[in-house]
Amino acid sequence: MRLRAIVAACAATFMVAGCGTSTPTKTEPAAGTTHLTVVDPWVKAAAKSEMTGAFATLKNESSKAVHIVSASSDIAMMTELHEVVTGADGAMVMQPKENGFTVEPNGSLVLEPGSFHIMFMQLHQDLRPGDQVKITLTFEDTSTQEVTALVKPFTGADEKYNKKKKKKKM
Amino acid sequence: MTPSIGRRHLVTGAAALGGLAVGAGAHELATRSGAAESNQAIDFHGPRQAGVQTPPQLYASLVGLDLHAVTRDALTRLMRLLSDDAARLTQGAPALADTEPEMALAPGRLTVTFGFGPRVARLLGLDLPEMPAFKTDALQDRWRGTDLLLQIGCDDPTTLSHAQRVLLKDADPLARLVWVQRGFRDAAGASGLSMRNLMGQVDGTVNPRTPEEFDALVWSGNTTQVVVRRIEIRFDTWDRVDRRGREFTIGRTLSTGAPLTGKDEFDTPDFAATDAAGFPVIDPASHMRRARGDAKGAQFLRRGFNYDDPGDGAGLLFVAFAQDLRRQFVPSQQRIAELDLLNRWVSTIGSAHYLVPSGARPNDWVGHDELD
Repeated sequence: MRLRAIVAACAATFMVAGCGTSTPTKTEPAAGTTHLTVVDPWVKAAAKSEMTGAFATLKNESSKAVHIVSASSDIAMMTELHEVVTGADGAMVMQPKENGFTVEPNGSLVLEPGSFHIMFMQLHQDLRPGDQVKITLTFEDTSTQEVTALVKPFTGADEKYNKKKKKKKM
Repeated sequence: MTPSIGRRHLVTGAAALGGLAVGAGAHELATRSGAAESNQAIDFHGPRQAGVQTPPQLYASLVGLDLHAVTRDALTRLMRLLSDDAARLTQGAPALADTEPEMALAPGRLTVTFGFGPRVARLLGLDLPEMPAFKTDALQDRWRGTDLLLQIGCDDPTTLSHAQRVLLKDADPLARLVWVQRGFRDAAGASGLSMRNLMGQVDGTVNPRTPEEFDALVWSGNTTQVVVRRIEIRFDTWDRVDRRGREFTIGRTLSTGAPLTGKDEFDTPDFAATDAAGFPVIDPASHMRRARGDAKGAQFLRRGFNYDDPGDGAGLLFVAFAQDLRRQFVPSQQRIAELDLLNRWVSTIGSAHYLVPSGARPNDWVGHDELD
C-alpha cells in the first residue's frame, strides 16, 4: 500500500512537471493533471450490462480543496458519483451525489462499499476478477486524472444494485 | 517505620520514577527473547520469492488449487490478484477490500510462495520434470498434484488463517480448491538442532545453509522447483520399536541427532565403521544411509512441516526445494523406495510438484516474467 502511494506520488510529480513545460492554457486544460493521490483503487467484479462500483482513498495533499465533478470509463454506458444514504423507509439507498465529491485541503475521502463510490451502470463488458479498469476523473476546472483499478471479487456490501442476479463464476 | 511500609514505598517509588527505564528494559527483553522478531515482515518483492531461503516459520498451510481454465488470461488475472494480496498481507497491511483489515496487522514473518504445477508449466513452456512413480508410494487422489501451490508460512496462526482466507476468496472465481495441508514445526532454534519430526528424529541435517549453498543447490537463476509429499507415520507399530531399534532404523542417535558414529548432529557419518562383531555401525539400509546423496550437487533443501490432523493421521509434510528435482530429489527417493528400514512405518500418501517462478518487482506480480 505504501509503495503504491509512493509510486502515485512520483507519477504526480512527473506529470506536474510535464504540464509545466507544455504551458497549458485555461481554454485547453491539460489531460492527466494530478490533483489527487489515489490510493488502493479497486472495482467490484460484475457481469456485462450489470452495475458495479469503484472504490479508493482519494488523498489531497494540497492546500486547496479538490472538487471532482464527474468520472468516466470505457467500460460502462454511464458513470456517476454516488453516496449511500438512509432512505425514507430506513433502508440504505444510493443516489447520485449532488455537486460531486469534494476532498478537503490536506484531507482524504474514502470511497468504500456502503458509502461514497463511483458507480458504473450498464457495463459494456464483463469485469472479471484480476482485470484492470481505467477510470478518468474530471475536476471542476475540466482537467482530468486517470486511475487504473484492479477488479476484485467481492461479495460484501451487497447493495441494491446487485441483488437480483446470483453471483456467477467468471 | 515498619519494613513492610518501607518496602512498599520503595517499590512504588521505583515504578513511578523508573517507568521509562522499565519500558525500555521490557522492549530489550522482548527483542532478546525473539518475541519482537517473530512479528517481523519479510519482504515480498524481490528477484526471488520468499518462503524458500526464509528460515521456516512455525506454521504452514500448503494450498493446492486447480485453475477452472488453464489459460494465460486466467493465470494472469489470478496471479495479479493473489500477488497484490500477498504483497500487502506480508507487510502487515490489509488486502485490498479486506473485510477483516484488523486481522492483517501482525505479519509474523508471513510469506506466500507460489508454485506452478505441470499443466501450468506446459502452458508457459517452462521446464518441470515429470515425477516418476516410486514403488513404495501409496498415493491418494485427494493429495494429488495441482495447477498451483500456495505455500503460506507464518509464526502467527491467526494471521496465517486470515491470509489463507483472503487468498482463497480472491482465487475462488478462477480456481478450485483441491486441498489444504497444514503443518507445524518446533520453535526455530529452540534446541539448536534441525527440526524434529513426529518420530522424534532430527530432519534436514544436510540442508544448504549459506547463500552460496542455496545458489548451488536450490536456485536456478531466480526460480526453483518444489516437491510436496504427504508422508504418513504408522505410530501403532512404530510404538512397538524400542529406542535402540529406532536409532538403528534411522542411523542416528535420537537425543543429539548425531550419526551413530559421531557426537554431534552435523558430524560426518562414518559408513565404513564396524562394531566389535564386524557389523557396520550405521546399517546400510538405515534411512540416513539410503536418503543421503554423496555426489556433489545431490543435496537439496528440506523445509518440511509436521502434521497431526485429528481423525486423519499424522506425519510429515515433506517439502523439498531443489534446482532440479530430477537430479537431486528423484535419485534419493529411488534409493529409499528400493530399500530403507524406515519404510515399514511410513508411507507417502500424497505427492505434488511445482516450478517456483521468480519473484515480483514492486507493483508487479509473481509469474509476470514467466508469462511474458
